[in-house]
Amino acid sequence: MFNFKTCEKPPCNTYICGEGPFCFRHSPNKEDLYKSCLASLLGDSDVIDLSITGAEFENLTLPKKGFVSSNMAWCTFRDIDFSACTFITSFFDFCLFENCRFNGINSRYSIFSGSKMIGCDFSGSSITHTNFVGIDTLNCNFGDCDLYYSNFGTSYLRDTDFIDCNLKKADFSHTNQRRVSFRYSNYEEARH
Amino acid sequence: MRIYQHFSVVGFCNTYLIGSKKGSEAILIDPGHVDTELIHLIESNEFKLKHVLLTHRHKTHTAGIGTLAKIYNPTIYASSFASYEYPVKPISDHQVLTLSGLEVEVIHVPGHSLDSLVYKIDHALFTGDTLMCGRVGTTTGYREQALLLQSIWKRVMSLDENILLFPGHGTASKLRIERMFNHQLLELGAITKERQNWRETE
Repeated sequence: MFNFKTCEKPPCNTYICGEGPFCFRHSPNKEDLYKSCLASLLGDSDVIDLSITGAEFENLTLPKKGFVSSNMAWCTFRDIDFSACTFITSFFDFCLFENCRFNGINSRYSIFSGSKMIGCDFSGSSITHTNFVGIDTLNCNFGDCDLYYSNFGTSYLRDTDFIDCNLKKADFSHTNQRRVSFRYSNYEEARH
Repeated sequence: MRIYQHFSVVGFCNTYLIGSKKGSEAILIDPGHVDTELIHLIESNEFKLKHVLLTHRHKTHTAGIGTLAKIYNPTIYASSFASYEYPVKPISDHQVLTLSGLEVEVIHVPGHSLDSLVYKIDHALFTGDTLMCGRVGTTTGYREQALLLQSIWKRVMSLDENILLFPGHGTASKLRIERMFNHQLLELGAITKERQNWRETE
């Protein structure tokens, strides 16, 4: 799991980035941290135990990357291609995802809660046991996804498709939906 | 610290395997069902399973104990409020255990059952059936529900909101997420408060 030490700058209690005593936002060597994070995102090996919060990423292709036990909460992702990536027990809560592609991803026990997703495509993915509680979506596509045991409770869904999905044990309770399609999906097997 | 989550379709229970590093001693929380996948998880990390922590007595969280005892013979820790057909080390509220080189804080959160315990290991909270992603645990009546909500607000929600939450069922979360989006916690919390105010003004 990523380092649980929190930032030394009071009153910030965000998890630290890298080895230093500060979180990414309060770190004096922000640029170096960003560069090393970018290198691990674009490198060949999986991203394991990485923690970077509040960073911004743009125009990247991360093919078949594995994110394991990492924390990228409060980050901004614009035009990022996460296609065929694997997410295991990784935290992407309160992030902004704009025009990101998540085609054919494999997500288990990961967290996207409180994030805003605009124009994101998750189609053809296996997204089980994943936390989407409190997300805001606009023009998103979850078509042909296995969403077994994933939780979308209290989310605000607009122009979002869940076409031909497995929704067994998924949770859509207390969601606010407009122009949301569950065509060919087993919505009746989800909690709503 | 390494945390591995294992899901079993028998009882739909999450089991957690925690160890400090590969080859170290390990702790298992809530063995609802032991299958080859869980054994593989333990063995592939070369963990020496020494301790099992139970969040409460319900079968869906304890049914795998028999198999584990035969293979690893771990020490089982459970609430002193419950009795078991196998030997357990009774533990109680506020106790701090040092197991496999990790500090485990025991928090008693009754409501779902009288013996419900929450374990805090570093910044990870293993809540069993007390607090889950988007909802609170089921209860057998209004009094138990009020007790559960009171216990959650007092003992769990008072902790640092960055703490990671690993429940007995459903997806992982963070305390901040539950504080903001747990509909049941927010709604029922308001109702309980209203009831309390109504009683006070009587």
